[in-house]
Amino acid sequence: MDQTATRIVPGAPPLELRGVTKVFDRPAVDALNLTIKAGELYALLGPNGAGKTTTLRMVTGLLKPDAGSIHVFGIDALANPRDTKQLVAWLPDEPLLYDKLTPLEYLEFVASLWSVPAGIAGPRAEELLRWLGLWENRNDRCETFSRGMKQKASLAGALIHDPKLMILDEPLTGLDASVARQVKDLLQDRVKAGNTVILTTHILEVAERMADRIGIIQHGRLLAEGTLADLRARAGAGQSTLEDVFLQLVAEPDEVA
Amino acid sequence: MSQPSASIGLLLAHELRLTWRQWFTRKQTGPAKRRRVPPLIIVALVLLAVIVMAGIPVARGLQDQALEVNAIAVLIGDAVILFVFTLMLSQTLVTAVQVFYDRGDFDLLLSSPTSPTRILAVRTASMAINPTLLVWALATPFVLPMAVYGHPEFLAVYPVGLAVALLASAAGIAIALFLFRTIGPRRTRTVAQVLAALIGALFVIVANLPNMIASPDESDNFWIWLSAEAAAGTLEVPGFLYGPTQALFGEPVPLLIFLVLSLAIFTVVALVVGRRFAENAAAAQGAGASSKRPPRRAADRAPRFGATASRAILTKEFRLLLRDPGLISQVLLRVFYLIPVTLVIMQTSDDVSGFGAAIAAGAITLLAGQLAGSLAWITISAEDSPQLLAVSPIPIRQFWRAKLMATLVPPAIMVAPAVIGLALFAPLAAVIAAVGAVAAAGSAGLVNLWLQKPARRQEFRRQWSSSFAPSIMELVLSLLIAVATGLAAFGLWLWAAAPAGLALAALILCRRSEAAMQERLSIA
Repeated sequence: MDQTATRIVPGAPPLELRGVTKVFDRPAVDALNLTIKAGELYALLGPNGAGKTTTLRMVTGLLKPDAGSIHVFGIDALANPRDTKQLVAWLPDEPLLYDKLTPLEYLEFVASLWSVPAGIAGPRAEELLRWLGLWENRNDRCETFSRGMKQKASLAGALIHDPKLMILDEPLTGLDASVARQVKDLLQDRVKAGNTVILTTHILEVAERMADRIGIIQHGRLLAEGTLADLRARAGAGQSTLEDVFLQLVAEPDEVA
Repeated sequence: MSQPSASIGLLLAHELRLTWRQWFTRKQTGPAKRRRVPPLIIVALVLLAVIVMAGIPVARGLQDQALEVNAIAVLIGDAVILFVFTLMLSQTLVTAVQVFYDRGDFDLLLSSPTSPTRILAVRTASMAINPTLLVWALATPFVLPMAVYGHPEFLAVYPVGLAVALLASAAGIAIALFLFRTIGPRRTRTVAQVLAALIGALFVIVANLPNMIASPDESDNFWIWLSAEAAAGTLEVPGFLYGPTQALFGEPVPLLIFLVLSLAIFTVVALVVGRRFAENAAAAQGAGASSKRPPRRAADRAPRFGATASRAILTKEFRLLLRDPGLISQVLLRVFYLIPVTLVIMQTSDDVSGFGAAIAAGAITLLAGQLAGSLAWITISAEDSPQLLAVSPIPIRQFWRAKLMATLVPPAIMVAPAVIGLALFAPLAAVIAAVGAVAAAGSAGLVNLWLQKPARRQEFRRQWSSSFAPSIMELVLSLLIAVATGLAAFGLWLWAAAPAGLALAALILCRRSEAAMQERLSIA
């Protein structure tokens, strides 16, 4: 962990993508350039199939790009994936859990994968489980949990190694209002503490209220990026909501006409 | 005005499509989608091959023989029907739980305007159709040539197969409902699997019981005695046993009685018992995760953080294996199946330190290979959370090493008592068996690693269709190494070299580089 920390390039952005391309049957991500600043909450928005999840999966090392470069805190993620993975947490919409393990056993396992020392992992696991309201269920198997409880257990796993960069794909899918609120509070706390968060969401109000900057992606390319005010100005949409701005920006030319 | 609703034909086609896809459709992985030979053509080609290679020679051999329903024919005919029934019951019991509980679509079906009775009738009928088609497919290569070569009466196998399937389905539904109501839906799945396999093995065990309990000095076994009695014409069989065999031999009245009786039993069970089962299943689905059963709770203990990654992976794999009752039951049943077979073969040999020891060494090897193969599939291909492992900073080869280790330890523990037992009367054979077991288990693990294909844990029971290549290779390797081990234990070292060499060649053919595996699994 310390070795990785020393590899971080001072002043380098948490995430920098240059010309990143991924082609399946058609280009899913097309020469994408993206820079995320330190300590910001960045919302990556786009219609279904726009390339959001593919982009994030390449950043987390789940997919190999066909072209381009990815740097995490200045470290080349393609050349040194282990170093960058040490700094990143990935939370997809489907919880990364083992149904037959308890939350505590799950955290023991994840902490070992990220080499978190016992003296740090133990107290942090208890703190996370208490904060997420799972402490009383710490010895229950995850198979008996509701979807919200599973997502919270998965979130605890993502936080056990105190990641500097959190990447979340639709983290609020299927969560009830109280759990969703807890997750949103947690993300904002992380950002206040100087960490960086990237999330995708179809709930545009969440992005509107929480994100420092918003990127809108379509056909694998970045259509627009900036604060809500920047996007409004770009769309010439005055005081419109993000939903209006989004729909205007992603509208196909024939739809606009 | 009555609302239009799904016809029986449409519902039945839906059921059959689901079943067909469950057994024959394999998940496509990776970007390249190769064109595959349609399963129907493969099945037809296999049937044709069996007809030519076995069916026609057998039919020609029986062409001029008068086949009559005498006492020995009744015993054989009834035994065949009973055997088919137990196999079908084994299948329908599992199917009953699957279609009524696991498939989870009762909410959808029962919320539609289609009559619940119609839905239920079709679903239970589909349960009988699948084993019927299977028996017909297995019988056809022999029945058709026999019909052509002078024995058309054996076409009665088709209606008899249907009747047995109806009885087996009725029994399967009734047993599943009984389990459902007494031990609850979750446990029913596990218990039904175990029961199904026990029923499947029951016939083999019962058939060998007279031999297994016979004293070793008896020269004749039960079946030889039975043949002698039949040849002498002194064998007597109770009258009621004649019916099923007479039906099998195409006698119209017994055939009609058998068919009508089984249809009546099936209808009563489907409409009365099945309705209750469907209601329970729908209620269980509504309950979802919050079933009445209290949550499974691990013992309260001090957390153990700070383990090395390899140790953490091993611990996690052992926990998952030990907490999967379905898996444990399947693994134990493999042991259960091999025990009677080994005992019987050993009893047929006069010299327990020679032929018997060689058979035991081969069986131990086969057992180790099969156990390791199952566990390797579960731990490697059926990883619950592959994304978590892929995003962690641990090299993938470290996961694979730990997972291989996890697949080798349980078979080692399970075959150790057998090896020690063998060592008491044949020490050299025991050493050879131990080497063979390690080779077979290691090969099975490596094949599952090299040819791995992501699958879900729940697919364990149909592992053969979801991971055909590793499953077939693992079986072939286990058999080759078991044969080599048996021959070596018998002292035929040179003969043992041939299957051992073949196994080695097959293993080398299966080998994949780490880069190729990562490419195949789309791991960055």
